[in-house]
Parts: sequence; C-alpha cells; structure tokens
Amino acid sequence: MSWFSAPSGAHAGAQRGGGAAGPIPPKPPIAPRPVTPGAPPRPGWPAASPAPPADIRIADDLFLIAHRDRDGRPLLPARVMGLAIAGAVLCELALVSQITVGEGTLVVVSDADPGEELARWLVRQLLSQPNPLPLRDWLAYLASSVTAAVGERLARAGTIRARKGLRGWRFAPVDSADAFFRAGRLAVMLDNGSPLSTGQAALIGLIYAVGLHEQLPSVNPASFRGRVSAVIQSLEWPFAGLIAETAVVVDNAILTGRT
Amino acid sequence: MTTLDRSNTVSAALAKDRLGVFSVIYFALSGVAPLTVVAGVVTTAYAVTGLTSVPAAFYLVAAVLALFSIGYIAMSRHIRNAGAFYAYIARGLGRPAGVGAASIAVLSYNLLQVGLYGAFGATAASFTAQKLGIHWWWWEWALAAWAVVAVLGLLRVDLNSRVLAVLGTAELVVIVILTITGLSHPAGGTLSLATLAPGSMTGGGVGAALAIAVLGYVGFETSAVYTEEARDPRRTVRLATYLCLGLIAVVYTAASWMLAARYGQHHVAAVAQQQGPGMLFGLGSALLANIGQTLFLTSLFAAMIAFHSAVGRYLFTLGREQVLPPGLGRPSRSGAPRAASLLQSFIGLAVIVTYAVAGWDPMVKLFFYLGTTGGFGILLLAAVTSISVIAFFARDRRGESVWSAVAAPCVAAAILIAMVWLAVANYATLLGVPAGSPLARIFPATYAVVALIGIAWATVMRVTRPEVYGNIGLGGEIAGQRVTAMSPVGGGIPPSPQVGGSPL
Repeated sequence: MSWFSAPSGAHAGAQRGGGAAGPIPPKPPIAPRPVTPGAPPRPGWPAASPAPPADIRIADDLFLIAHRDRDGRPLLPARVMGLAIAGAVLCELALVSQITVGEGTLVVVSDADPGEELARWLVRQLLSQPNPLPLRDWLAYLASSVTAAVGERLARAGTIRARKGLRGWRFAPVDSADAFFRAGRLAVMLDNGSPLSTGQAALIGLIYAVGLHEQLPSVNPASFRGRVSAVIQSLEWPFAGLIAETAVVVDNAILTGRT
Repeated sequence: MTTLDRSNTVSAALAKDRLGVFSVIYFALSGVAPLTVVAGVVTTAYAVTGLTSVPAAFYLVAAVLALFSIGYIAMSRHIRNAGAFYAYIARGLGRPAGVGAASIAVLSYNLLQVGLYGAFGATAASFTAQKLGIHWWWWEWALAAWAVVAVLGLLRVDLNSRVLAVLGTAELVVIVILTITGLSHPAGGTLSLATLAPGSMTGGGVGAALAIAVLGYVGFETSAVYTEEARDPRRTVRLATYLCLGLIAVVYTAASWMLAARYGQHHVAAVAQQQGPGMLFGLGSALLANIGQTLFLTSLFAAMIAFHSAVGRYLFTLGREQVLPPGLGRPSRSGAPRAASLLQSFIGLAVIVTYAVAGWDPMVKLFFYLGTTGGFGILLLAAVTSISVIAFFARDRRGESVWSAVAAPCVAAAILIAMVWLAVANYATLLGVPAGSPLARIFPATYAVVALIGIAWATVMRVTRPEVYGNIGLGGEIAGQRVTAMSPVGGGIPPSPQVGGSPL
C-alpha cells in the first residue's frame, strides 16, 4: 500500500485501486498527493483544506518529540515510530469523535468530513473495508507509511523541512526551539500537575508506550514517572484502548526484533 | 488477532509482512542450533556421562515436548505478551510464581548463552590452529565472539530469517550426510539398534539422558513468541512448532544413534573423550569436515545471538513492568533492549574471564556443565508452565478443546515433573562427577534459590508497590484487556481528576 498512491489530481475512485478495496462513501473528489512510502515530504505545498485546530494534531507533536530537535534524527526504530504515529493519527480521529474501539475492533462512528487531508484519507480507508478490522491490524497496516504522511503534513505547514543526508532523508524542524517547546510544555504541565486536555493525556500515553517519556525535560525526574503513570491510568475510552494496543504492538515488535 | 482475509487489500498487505510457517521454524531453529547439539552436546554427553541411552531419550523427549506444546500453544493464543514462560506462569499460577519463573528463565538462558562461549572458543581455537596455523587461546576466541554478540545485540542486528534458513538447512544437510556415511560403516559390520530401544532407558542415569535430550530441544519454545506476528495465529505457530520438533527429533535420534553404531556402543564414550566433536566431522571427506566445522561455529554463533535475545526479552519485559529497574525496559534507537543487552553481555564477559583465569575446561565445565544446567532450567519451566496452563484454562476454557486445555497439559505436567525429579536424582551422572559431589546439588539448588528470591521480591512488591504488582505478567496488556472488553467504559478506567472530558 502507498500513501496517496494515486497520481496528483486523481480522485477518490483512483485511490481505491492503489489503496484499500471496497466501497468508499460518496464524497467530493479529493486530490491525493503522489507521495510514495518513505519518500520525503514536499514542503511548500498548499494545504488542501482548512486545517483543524492545531492542538488536535497530536501526531505532529509525537513526530517532533520522536525526532531529535536539532537535526531531525529519529529517536526510534522505523517500525516502532510508525506504530506510535499510527496510534497518534487514530487518536486524532477519536478526538473529533470519528472513531471508537469496541471489542478490539476499530469502528467508524461518523463519516463526516474531518476537514483535513490525512484524516480524510484515513476515514476513507477505514470505511473502505467490507468488515471492521482489529485495531492492531490497522496499526500494523498504517505503520509502514504513516510517518512519511505526518512528515508531509508538517512540511506543508512549514514546521519541518526535509534534508537529504548520508543515511537518507531526515525531517529537521525549521525552528528547533519550537520542537523543544512542545516537549517542554508537556513536561512543565506534568511537573506542575496542571490539568491536561484529553489530547495531551493521549500524547503522554503514546510517548510512554514507546519509552520516550525519559526524553521529556522534567525538572523533577524522581516523581515524573509516577505522574506519567497517573495520567495514563486516567485516560478515557477509547484513548485508553488505543494507547494500550499501541503499547502492546510496540512491545511485541521490540521483543520479536521486528523493529 | 484474527486470521487475515487475503481477499481484502489491507489484509493482503498485512499478510505479506507476517511470518509464515518456515520463517517461524527458522527463528526457532536458530536457538535450537542442530549442529551445536549433534556435534557439541551429543559428543560431549557421550564423553562425560558414558550414557548410550541418549538416542532413545531424544525421541521420547520429543514426544513429551509435543504433548507439552499442545497446551502451551493453546495458551499463547490468549496471552499477547511475548514474555513467554514468565507471562504464562504469572497468568496461570499467580504473580509471585511468575516472578519466580522469570528468575529461573533469566538464569537458564544466561547459562545456555554463556556456555556457548566455551564451545565456540574451544572449537575455533582447535579449528584455526589446524587449518590456519593461528594459535589463540580458547578464551581469546570466546572474547572475540563475545564482542561481536555484544555489538550486534546493542544494534539489534538479528540474523534475518533468510540467513537463518540457509545456515539451518546447511546444518541439517551436513548432519544427514554424515549420519548416512556413519551408518554405512557400522562397528563390527552390523547395525545395532540397541541404543534406540526404549529399554535402554531403564539403565542408570535415565534422568541425565532425559535432561541432555531436553537441552537439545531448547529453543523450540521460542516459536510461541511469534504468535502475534504469525500469518495465522491458530495454525502457523502450531504447525511450525510440531514440524520443528519432528524434524529435529528425527535428526538428533538418527545422528546420536549413528555415533553409537559407528563407533560401537561400548567404545563410543572413549572415542568421544578422545576426539570430541571431531568424532562426527571425521566421518566425512576433508571438504565436508571443513564445511561441517565452519557450520558448527556459525551454529554456535546463531545460538549465542538467539539466547542473548531471549535474556534481553525477559529482562526487557521485567523492566517494562518495573519488576526490575525500568531502564531495562527502555529500547534503544535501534529497537534493542539496550540495558538488558548490556547486562547480558556483562555477565558473559564475567564468566569468560572467570573461566580463563581459573583455567577451567571450556568444553566440559563451561559448555556442558552450564549448558545442561540451563537445559534443566528450561525443563523446570516447561513443567511449571504445564501446571499453569491447567490452572489458566480451569477458570475459563476460552473456546479451547478439553484435550488442549485439560488432558494434554495434565499428562505433560505429570511426565515433566517426573523428568525433573529423575534429573535431580541423576545430576551427578549428568555432570559426570562422582555421586555425592557438591556440584550435583549446587547446580539444581541454584534454581530453587533464584525462584525463592523472585517469589520474595514479588511479595515485597505486593506490599510496597501494589500498582506494579498488579501489572506483573500483563506487559502492555493491562489496558489491552480493555480493548477486548464488551463494555469499554466498564473496562475499569477510573474517572480522571486530571484529564478534561472534552477534546482539548
């Protein structure tokens, strides 16, 4: 499968051929971007639709926290990164009440236009399945390409830029202070015991699931882990399920060496 | 996880990424390391114990392990944590038993792993001295192997399934050719079946022969770890486990029988003492002997990496659940359980240095003593796991048949417990030491000590860190259970004082 595998300007019908099969609900044609898996994002492209509130985009924050702020070096193995970011984009859909989780299966509860290209593509993929698939299958499926897709979204927003290095493409923040600030803000809120939004709590859960919580610049690391645990324990449904499942697939990827 | 419907595009894409039967077999075979067993374990077992019931023990133990696997694989379908024995025992017999089992597992796999340095060092030193004129001490080769394993462990460079497939197949082919060659020239001109008869097990040291046979199969249990990654979780792992067991049972039985038949039942021990692994490789042409010895080294190496990963897996899981320091549960950028890998490497270094300084024999006292003791630990774990399978399904059979969930685990548990008892009774024979030697008590007793430490540690956690205690054996599953709960909200998520109800 490839993200936005249809040629530029193609519509939803063309995408069915390159992506998931099955009926796609009638929607206005969407212009998918011709990005192949692993290809660098293309900075400077105009956004195809009005952006949702930026603070729903926890996949963006996770992407930035999971890459070194000064040069964009990934801090996680590729598959672990993909699984975590797949969990994050699904959490984004859950934040706008578009999906939920029931009996281990991902269920679409609204087919309204999510108003953002990546989310729209994702909803179309979910709806295209003849039968609902287990959440873990979606995480595994999305993991192979979702990192590049979120990278592209960040590049379109001008947050990161692609750099070709000796070891392939890297996605370095345009403003490393901004990237650091995203992690720092979370750490300060945790340190102070500030109330967290559902999205922020879910983000912390995902950060914990991939073991990146130690990277958050806490000023009081001794009690930090306890506060992280408390936030995770207090997550609401379906975020608890989404994050727990992400943690399971990440752990299994590490334990079987398939990272 | 459901079986993938390949008519569906998403499922078809996933199926490509999942492991098939042969991939799982070769992952398991890398730990089993057939040439390590035939050239290393069998020949050293003949030399040290003098027991000629080893061939019969191999097929009898295969049957017992196949019986054990019925319940073990049935349980793997309901336990998503890849922590294997630890998770199974914690879920079946309770958290303290789980931590006790984890302690036994960590000790066993460490013994199995570090023991291999002895065989690798001794074989590499002998091989390079003969063929290349390079005269290094065994421990210099062992340290070289240790350094490579330590680096590969940190970088998480596991041998991929294709490399393992080529090496594993080559090992099996060499064993089969040497077995046929040996059987075509039996001692005295007649092929004796005496060592294959189950009656040969009635002699002394039956427990030792059984323990040696179990050591040969260690690694087969790894297959269950791949349940989550398997193409069809119900069929793939089950088929891979039985095929793996069946294949190596035939190979081990035939090869060990061939050695006894080729050199004579009454002389095989003396030849083994004199020639070691050379008694196998000497049966073929010079070219085959060279290929065989090279593959013996690669086989030992693949097993070192497999057991290094097994230790890392247990330490990582224990760190993730905070039963051990959380640093052990943190993956590196490469995906390796970094601290767990470093700890295992440190243990390996300490053992090699200790043996080198003390001047102890690497083949007998490092490879065979620690290897057989590691194998005994796996036998213990298999026995306890069988009991835990019974306990796990006694509460809820979860759609499994009475045969898988009750009958087979009960029979397997009874036989495995009897084997543990016999192995302890014959431990002096197993090590080739005089009856009454303190070593024959110290090695098995070590498991009792570490198990008690584990149980005590779990009990302390129950009082001091109840939230950590509650997570024992669950891995990431604690909330994963909620995913499959009928009512998500009823899954036990407490109302949050800290998290707002609305999205952001």
